[in-house]
Amino acid sequence: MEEEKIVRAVKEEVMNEAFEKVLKYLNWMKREIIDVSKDDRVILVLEKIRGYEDKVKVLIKVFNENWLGMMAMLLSREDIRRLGVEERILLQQLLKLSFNAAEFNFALDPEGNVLIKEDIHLAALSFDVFEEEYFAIPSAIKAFREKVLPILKEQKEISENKLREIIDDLYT
Amino acid sequence: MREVIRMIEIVEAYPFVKVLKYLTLLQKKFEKTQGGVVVIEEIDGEEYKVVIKYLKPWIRIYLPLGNLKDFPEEKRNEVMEKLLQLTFEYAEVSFGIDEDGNIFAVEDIYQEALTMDVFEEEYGAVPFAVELFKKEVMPLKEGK
Repeated sequence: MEEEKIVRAVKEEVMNEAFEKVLKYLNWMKREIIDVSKDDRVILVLEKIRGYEDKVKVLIKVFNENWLGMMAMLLSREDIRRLGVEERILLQQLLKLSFNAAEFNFALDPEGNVLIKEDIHLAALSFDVFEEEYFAIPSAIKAFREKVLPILKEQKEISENKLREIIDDLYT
Repeated sequence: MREVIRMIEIVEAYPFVKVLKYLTLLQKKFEKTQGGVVVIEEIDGEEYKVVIKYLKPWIRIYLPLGNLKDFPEEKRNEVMEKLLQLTFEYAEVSFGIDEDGNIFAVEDIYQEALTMDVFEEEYGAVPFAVELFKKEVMPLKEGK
């Protein structure tokens, strides 16, 4: 029992340390942090996409003692339906871009929303690794908008509430 | 001038020298090829060839898993959907397809971020992706 307690405390310590590191890195990188939840170890960052006016929310979460995840939503299931996008073309384009560009990991969540995600093992968490993985997100969004969306039809706005809802559900 | 060029060549080759060292430390069976390295992995009794290339400034690790055309036409959307779902579900697992429909497990490491810990983590995701592919995607071949 005592042993279990110690293991749990060590795991907590590892996660807290990683969380503090990420906050420090984001400050070094001068990113626009809009929300920090120490209890959930979640950070929300507003990221500008080069060449575009709008900003995208990037969620960063230390979700266990091994992994840190970063993600941003590209298209909700709803948007896909509204856009009348042909599923086959969307899936094909996402997988092609994942293959053709370094460090672009497009994904589909259980609800069918399209996301870009990056993961870092906590043992490999250093500033250089974090910086590289973090910036892959806005780059992937830019590439998605410029290479995939034109193929799919006109771009539509993604609802804020939907994003929040999805973010709340992630990794729970 | 020739010395400077030689020095640049050495510096540019350094990330790949590191990869060779890491593969040796991980006791992997590998052979050098013209464009990179091929690592022989045995997964569930089957032999797979993991390719590692230095595409400056990236180290790319990938493994061909088959072609979309290997699956019944009516199942191809499901295959692609599954690949993207697995990317979501599992940390560091990533799939892609090329212009010809070939399916790959793929990982990239930025040369500045190349350390043994990062390499081990990224490389390890490839054999794991094979296991997932066999378990979750291959059954679709039989129209299941």
